[in-house]
Amino acid sequence: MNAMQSWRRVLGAGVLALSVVAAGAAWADEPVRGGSITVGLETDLRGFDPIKGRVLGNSAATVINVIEERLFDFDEDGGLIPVLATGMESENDGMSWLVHLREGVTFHDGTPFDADAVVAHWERILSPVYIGGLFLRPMDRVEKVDGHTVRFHLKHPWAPFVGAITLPIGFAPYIPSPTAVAAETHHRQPVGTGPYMFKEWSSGDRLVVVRNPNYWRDGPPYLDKITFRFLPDQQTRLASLQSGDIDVMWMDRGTTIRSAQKDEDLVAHEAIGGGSLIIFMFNASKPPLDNPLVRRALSHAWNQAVALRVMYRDTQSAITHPYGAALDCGKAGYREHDIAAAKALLAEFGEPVELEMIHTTTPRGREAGQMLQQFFKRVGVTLNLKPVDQLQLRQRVFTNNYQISGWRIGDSGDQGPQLFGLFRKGSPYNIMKYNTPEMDALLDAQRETVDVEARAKLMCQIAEKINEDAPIVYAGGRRHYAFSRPRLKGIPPLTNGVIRLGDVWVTDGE
Amino acid sequence: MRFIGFKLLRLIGVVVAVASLTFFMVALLPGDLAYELAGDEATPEQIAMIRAELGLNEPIGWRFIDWVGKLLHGDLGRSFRSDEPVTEAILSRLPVTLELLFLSQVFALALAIPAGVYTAYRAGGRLDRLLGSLGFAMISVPVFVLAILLIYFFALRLGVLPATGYEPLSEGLWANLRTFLLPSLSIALVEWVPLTRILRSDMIATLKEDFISMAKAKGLPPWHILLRHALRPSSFTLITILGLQIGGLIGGALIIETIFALPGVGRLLINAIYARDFMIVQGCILFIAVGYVAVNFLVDMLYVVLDPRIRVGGKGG
Repeated sequence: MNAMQSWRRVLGAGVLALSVVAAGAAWADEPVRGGSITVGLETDLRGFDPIKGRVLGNSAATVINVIEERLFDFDEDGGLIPVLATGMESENDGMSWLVHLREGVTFHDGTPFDADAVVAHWERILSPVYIGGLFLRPMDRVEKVDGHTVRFHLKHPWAPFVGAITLPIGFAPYIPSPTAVAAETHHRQPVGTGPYMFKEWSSGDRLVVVRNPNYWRDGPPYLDKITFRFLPDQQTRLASLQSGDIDVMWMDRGTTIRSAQKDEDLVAHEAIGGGSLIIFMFNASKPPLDNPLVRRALSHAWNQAVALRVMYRDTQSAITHPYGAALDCGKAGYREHDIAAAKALLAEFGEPVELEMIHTTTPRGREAGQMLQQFFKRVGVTLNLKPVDQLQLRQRVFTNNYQISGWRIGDSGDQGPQLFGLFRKGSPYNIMKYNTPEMDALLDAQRETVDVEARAKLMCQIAEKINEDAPIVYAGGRRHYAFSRPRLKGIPPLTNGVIRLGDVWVTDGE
Repeated sequence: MRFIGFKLLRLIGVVVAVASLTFFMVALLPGDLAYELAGDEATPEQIAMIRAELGLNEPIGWRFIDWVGKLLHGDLGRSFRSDEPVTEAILSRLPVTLELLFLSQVFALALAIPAGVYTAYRAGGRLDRLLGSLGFAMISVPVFVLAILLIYFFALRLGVLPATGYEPLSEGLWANLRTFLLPSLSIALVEWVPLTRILRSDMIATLKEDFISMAKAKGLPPWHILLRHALRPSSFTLITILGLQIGGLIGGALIIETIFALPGVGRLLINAIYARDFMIVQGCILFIAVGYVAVNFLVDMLYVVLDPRIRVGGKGG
């Protein structure tokens, strides 16, 4: 287990989300049983079946986390905590993993948790009908060894395997009841082994879960009930938190975060995540962006510090690579704001540069576009803005019909699979069409390297290559924020933006 | 009967037109829904699979015929995102919208009728001028500003009412009403103004009629004249405006439902638009259109009840 823990310490960006606020003080208190809480979520849910739901967002992850469980969780240092598994070991030089499952656990519907349940779930996840499987391609199949042991077969040694089965933000790690899945009821009435059982879901309004009286762990769950309410407007959600209508909420808007930070009646939870909230993609297959000189000039024209102040009120940090606090790659050759350098590169290119950027019609999309336009103007580059609907934007990006577009790098724990998808030649997610033999070699090597130090070095080399060839520029990193009422205790550090509520309690519970 | 038949025919025509327009407008929107539903990790093959699953590869005419065919069987389809039946989604939110609609109109009328009647009776008086100024001030404030002000005072400062949320009647009458007070008031505090002004204006005209002079000559008390003789013939325009307002609210007060997190039809529609859940969008717009024309049909029928001349003449609206 030690080797796996250190993997996570080095590579699991979101997994290693660093808690920087002293919310952990509440952890030291003795849990109290009873009471209920209300959680404010930003969006309604798509449902809980991986194939029908397709994508698990931040809101749904917060809910699924108390109903269904993963094989492993992780502590604040990134160390693995056995949950539905009791342990695992690597076999055949990393070509397979033997996972020992916990005995005596049952799903909420009485179905026993065993190897059949794990195999049934992973067979669906690895089937072509599951849309979210691109980053799981190195996984071949899952085999039942005995009643409580399974073996994950890989196509090649794959360092991100541990992250793939523990990441709290994706569907794959959560094991549902095979009975509910087969009955096709799981999508809207999820059944898991978690501390809370699904009670009701009124779409657009609330989802209610109640204590699981047969939960297998001693101690939790402490609450009688958790109500998740869907409150799309962030200002309204904050007002509800301040008035005590809800007990905890996640937020990402700079102005709201600043307001909440000033409120002494709220407890702040803050964590550095991986990825980037907004990046600008330069389509390397569209002239003149196919010329690295132009892309490098545009990177120098961009001013991340100013953008962070204007767009996020400095609630997000400047980054030089997408690994968050998990890896220290230093500057990684990041191209700082340097108008003279940008002009020199453009002079070397020798032709006037006029580009088009597509952006969403949202205020955030417009703001980002206008900012890029102003920075480019200072170095003599004309940027025409083309506002499009979100649907059009996605279609144009995925059909290679754009020059510059806003995008993001998700906080996916181990960033390796995502970067492989974004920059590897032949990947369907290679949406900026940037790929070079050197980058391909680095991506292939990080994928199969299991030595911690060696892989960390490769990941930093990838970050340096990104900065050198400049297919993207970062508009800031990713820092997760949640705020809670003081009565709510026991919230562990945020990981990948998910508020894990399985072990929380309230001081007025009894 | 001819009057009712004519109105009914018009109602059906409007619904058919709205249904067709909605379908084609939504279907012809640029962009491919499959890319949105697929997330970032889908392969081109999987995107093609989603398109086939949603029937997006079929010609638009065939999709329209299919949709209308199902519509005639009461099937509005299923949400592209959550797989929830559209009819179920709308019906589960309808009680919230209807309660908001009912309470807001009760509050608006409770303010508008006494104010309208009194200001007509004492037209030009101090209270008339005061209410007129107050009304103009209130109607000038956008409804969302009013809502946020109410939240600030009643939820954050005084802490007596919830800032957001909804409690169903099953949780108790007071628990339910508490969640509707601020949203209803936000709407009513704007809507009472035109109702008051219209009632006042019509009432002033009515009070000049001969039959009112006759009533006064008979020595009837003012309240009797105002409420029993003048109010009914003065309420035609009031009812028309009320009908339009109610019609508008069938779709839910979009902004109010969003600000107060009320799970009504309006919020369903807004969320569906943001989420590009076009089956829900089509269903909601159709439902709202039917509601709107149905309310106006009822208002027209109310004219018949209030003024038998329309029934006899056979012409109206």
